[in-house]
Amino acid sequence: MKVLLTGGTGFVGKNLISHLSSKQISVDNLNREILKNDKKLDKFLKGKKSTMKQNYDVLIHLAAELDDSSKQLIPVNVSLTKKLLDLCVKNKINQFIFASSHLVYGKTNYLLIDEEHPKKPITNYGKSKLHAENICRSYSKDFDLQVTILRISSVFGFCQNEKYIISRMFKDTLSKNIILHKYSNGYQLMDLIHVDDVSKAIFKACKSKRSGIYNLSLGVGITAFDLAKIISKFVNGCKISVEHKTTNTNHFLYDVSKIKKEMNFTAKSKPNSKVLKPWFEKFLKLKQPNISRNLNNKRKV
Amino acid sequence: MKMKSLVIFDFDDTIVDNSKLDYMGFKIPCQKLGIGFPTKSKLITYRKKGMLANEIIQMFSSDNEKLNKFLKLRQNFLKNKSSNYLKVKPYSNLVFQKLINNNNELIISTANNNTKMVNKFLKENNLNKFFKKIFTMNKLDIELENNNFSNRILIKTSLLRLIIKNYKNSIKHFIFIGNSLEDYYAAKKLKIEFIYFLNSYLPNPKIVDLNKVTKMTQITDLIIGEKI
Repeated sequence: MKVLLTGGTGFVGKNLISHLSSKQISVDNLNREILKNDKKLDKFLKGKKSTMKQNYDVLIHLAAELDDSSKQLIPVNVSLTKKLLDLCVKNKINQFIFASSHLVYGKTNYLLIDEEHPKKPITNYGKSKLHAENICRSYSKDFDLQVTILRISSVFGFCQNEKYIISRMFKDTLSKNIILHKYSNGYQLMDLIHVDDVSKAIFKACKSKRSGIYNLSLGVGITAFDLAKIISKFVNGCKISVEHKTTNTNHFLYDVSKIKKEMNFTAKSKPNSKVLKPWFEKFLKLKQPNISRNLNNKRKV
Repeated sequence: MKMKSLVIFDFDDTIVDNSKLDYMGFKIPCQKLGIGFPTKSKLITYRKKGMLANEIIQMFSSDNEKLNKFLKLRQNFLKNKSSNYLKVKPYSNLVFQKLINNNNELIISTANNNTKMVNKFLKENNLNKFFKKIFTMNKLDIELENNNFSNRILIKTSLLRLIIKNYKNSIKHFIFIGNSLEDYYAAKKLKIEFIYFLNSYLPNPKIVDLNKVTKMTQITDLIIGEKI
């Protein structure tokens, strides 16, 4: 199997390349430079055209603009998706896997959130992903193209940017105080997925060759408070500051039965102490390489 | 024959009268802790204003430790003693039988997580024969704080959604009978027909175009057009 990929330099993309390579799958990354520039993309396509016709089986589209206020939101998340769908049709790549987002759902009406849940995205990012999903669906109907849409929930894993919850809590431990009001009131139910599980699911999607929309998440709820309790135990004397900022939180917990049933995929890695502690130790080494910290299993307040 | 409907009954304050249980849930823990508690009529006044148990008891004690102890004792009391103080609403059996005779299926949906208590109560009152299934919080397998309005709506909506999923292949029409605004919003979100069971315990909602009943017997009139 040969795979063409976008977003290969991102957090999920890097992990996916490594996972697919371990399965002896050849991956070519359409990098940002090529994607941004039509001439370069044309040149790339012309140069690879014969190869593509013969070899590429699937295009995995991970590249996305995440900044909600960016002017690139529509060009990257919507227009680029359409361009890549055209590329699949023209070059007879049979399958298109689109990395969508759980943010297409917006305000939660009910739990577990299944794929039929109303879609009223609140963020511009969520809106752009929903728009792109609709384009994907129309290509799937109009052309002989298998389109798999994965609505991926919040991803966690090693080396993740500090703006995401777990890395941010790790950073908070440096000042020995995890502040919960940064995460709504701390009691918001979240459903995370480990980056390794995302890669495994995409691999399954490549093999299953199914058209459809799937929630991709662990399907297990955890609150910021639960996470803080786990992480605070890694450091002597680390406190948790609870400040109830709001009571109207939006809870996320996904129904993952469809992906389990149709692709035989279940996410395995939970954000528990066993998974988080090695990551935390790496984080400390990077942040404070010369300081030996006292890690223990019991929190002392 | 008339289209088959699934009639979903809320439990607390809809099928059963909870007012005595609610009152005893203040009286017994407060007597143990040596703090004051509202009279029956005052309690109804507070509940009509939409006040929660913790808000009510704060008027009688400002001691945070006692407040927390009260909430725990109350929770235990409600869990263990519930069915002793519950009362079936008058004519319930007759109404349930009429609905079933008219090609309807009945189930219960309740945010109560004490499935055992609900089952025990139904059995003791010979009501279990009417309800094919009971959907309690335990069916959802989620833990959410039940003490804020938006969470309660989410819990109610989630239960209803689970019911629709379970029945969508066999039944196309759903009617939900509840007694709170949370019930109303949950039904509205899922576009389910809703009947508001008014009681002396909660405020009368200022919502127009809402089917309201004050007695069990009015339900048959609304659903099958038969007066009892």
